[in-house]
Amino acid sequence: MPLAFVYFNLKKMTVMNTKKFHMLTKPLLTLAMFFALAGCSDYLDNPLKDRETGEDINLLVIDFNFFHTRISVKLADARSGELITVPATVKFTGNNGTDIVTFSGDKRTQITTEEGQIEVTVDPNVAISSGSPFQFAVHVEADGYMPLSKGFQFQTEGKKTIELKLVKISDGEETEMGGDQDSGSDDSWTVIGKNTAGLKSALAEEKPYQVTYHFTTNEILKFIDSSGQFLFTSESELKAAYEASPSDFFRLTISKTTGYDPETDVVNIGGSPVSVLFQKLETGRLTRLEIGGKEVADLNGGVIVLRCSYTGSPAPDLFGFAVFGEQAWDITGTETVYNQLNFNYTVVKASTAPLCATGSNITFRASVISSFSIDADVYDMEDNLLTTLHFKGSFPETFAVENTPQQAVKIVFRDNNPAFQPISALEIPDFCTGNYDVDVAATSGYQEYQIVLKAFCPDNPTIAVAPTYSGEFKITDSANPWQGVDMAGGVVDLLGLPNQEYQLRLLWENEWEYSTLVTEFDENGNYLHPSGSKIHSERMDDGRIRIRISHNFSQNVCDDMGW
Amino acid sequence: MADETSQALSGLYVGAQATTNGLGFNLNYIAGKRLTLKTGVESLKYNFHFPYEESDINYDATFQYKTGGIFLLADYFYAKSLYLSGGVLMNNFQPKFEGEAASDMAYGDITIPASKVGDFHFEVEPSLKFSPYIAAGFRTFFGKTKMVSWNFETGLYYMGPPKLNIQTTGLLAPTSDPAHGHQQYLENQFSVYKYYPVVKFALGIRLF
Repeated sequence: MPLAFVYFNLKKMTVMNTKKFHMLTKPLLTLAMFFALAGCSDYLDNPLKDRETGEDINLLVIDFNFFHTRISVKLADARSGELITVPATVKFTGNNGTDIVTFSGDKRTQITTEEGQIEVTVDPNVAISSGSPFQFAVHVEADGYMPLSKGFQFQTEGKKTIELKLVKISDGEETEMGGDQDSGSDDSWTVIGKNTAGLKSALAEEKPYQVTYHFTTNEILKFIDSSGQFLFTSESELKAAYEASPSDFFRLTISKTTGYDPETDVVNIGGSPVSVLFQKLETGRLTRLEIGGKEVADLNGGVIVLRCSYTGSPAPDLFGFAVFGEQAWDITGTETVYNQLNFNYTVVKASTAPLCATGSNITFRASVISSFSIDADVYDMEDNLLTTLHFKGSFPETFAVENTPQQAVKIVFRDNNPAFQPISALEIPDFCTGNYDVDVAATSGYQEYQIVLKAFCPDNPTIAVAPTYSGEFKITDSANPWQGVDMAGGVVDLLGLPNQEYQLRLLWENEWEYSTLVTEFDENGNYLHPSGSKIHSERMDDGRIRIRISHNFSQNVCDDMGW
Repeated sequence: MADETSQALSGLYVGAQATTNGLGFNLNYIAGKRLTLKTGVESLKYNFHFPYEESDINYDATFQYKTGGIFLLADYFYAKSLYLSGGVLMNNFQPKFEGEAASDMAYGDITIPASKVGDFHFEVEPSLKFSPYIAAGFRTFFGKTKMVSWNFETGLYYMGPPKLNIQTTGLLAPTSDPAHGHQQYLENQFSVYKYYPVVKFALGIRLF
């Protein structure tokens, strides 16, 4: 328009005489000025205000990509495998326990959650390598569950998933044990796990170890009942009571749990924490002690001695009672002395065979562009479970497995991701070496999508967060388990079914941030479900559909980040 | 008489100009009473270093203003000293804004090293490399033999919607990730800035 205008005037001017020209020049120039200024009128608008909404524009998109090690801690019910839904407190201890931080950068050695899961990360100033492993322990206390402690030694940086299986207190076995005087001894009394008539439960199951309780006459004479009176005032009274009713003179009620899975854990060996193959054999708590029909209320300075012995074959390298310290188990031996009632004990076994700091490299490949989260159980060649692995990344991605036993193993991938076909087991002759490929195929009907997430704080539209973070994804209200996805810089490729409503969620502190989207688009890839959360889509050059989501964080998330 | 004067002023002039598009040299050929042809080159570079803070991060920032180009113009004189000018500029408009973290970043209880905070580089380019130009101006001559010409003109280059080139690293990396389409978003936001305003003062000395 301005060029046509100039041309028009020039042409006109060539045929005008000077006088006429001067008559027209001023209005024409004025008109030209008007058009020029009209073209520039937008210059007066503030470019830092969004042209459509009038709000401050989004200038920068930032990421938490300075965190190189991210840890998903999942608290699962040992029986159901589901995440627990009761309040739980997670504590971190050990050499690097204070190097664990939230994604807000806050050092938090104790975090409370009701979601059965927390997302934390590691201070990026702390280097992690096999020469300088990241050593810490996690302690979990959850309503209705047995306390749990477990040690970790990360040999590499990267994405880590810690799945802690919590045993419900109510799932513990209430066992009653009976016992009597040791043969050939007047002063020593032993209670072993033998069947006793009329008891609530019995040790019918054969186990390759035995836990026994030992009392001496001198100690028993210190015990008092609930009224504060001695159970027996003299040795002669004790012996008379025993002779009157020798059968099951001792009755102990113990809440115990067995059947723990083997795993890798950290044990102090020779004063140093070492990652080993480890298994809790039994945890127990003495809940009631009755001697000669009288209930003990207080040991009153007396003691009870517990002994354990391994009766199976072959005997493990390490066996005995264990207590968890700051970052590792101390296996204290086969005898322990308690001077309080209601004590807890743990019997464990462990191998002293050193684990390889980093073992086999496993590469997950697929013909699709997608993120993945794959869980696997590792068995020895006799099908004994050794440990569990969690892989989270994007195809193709290689993982160097940490803390691996130098032996042949079979990795069985769990079939818990509906987007993938079942994955064949992988046999590895030496778990400490080698490179292995795992081919993953998409389930028929699933399509590739790319989700691009930007999250804003309500009061600060200028800065958006496109997080490198672990998220989860599933069809809304479906019975499918949540699928872990690995988001990098707010971008995640994943597989989904067309024409379904999906939810994508990120866990921030103790709160899930949800975004909902529908995988329904027109033929050009445009999103067909306009929503208040600003979802747009486009078809990418490779034919996939990219879904851009602008999500508004809740204010408390922004408060955590100081925005 | 006027034609005689015009003919006397015809010729080739060499000179210099100061414009909002830079300082430079020009070569003018006064072809006659109505027409003058002009060519020349002009350039402007200005670097401004300053500390810049964004989201509690301190950056060493540099704003580099670079513009200029080679022009070829024709002035049509509709009066003795007044003219309309049109032509084209091979545009060298290319401002940059870049910076890198100047210090570690306090983030909660920890410190993020400056090397991991990263840097940013924003560069603007015209979408038209050859920009049309229109202007209105005034010219007069000095000296007994009118050997020296002096011009004042004001006008616009049409650059088209500016193109933005963004490169970012560290925590700002998603800003330049094409998946986020942030470049297009900002280009759209600044797309009204299609014109480059020009105010020009020029001097010329007649060679022959």
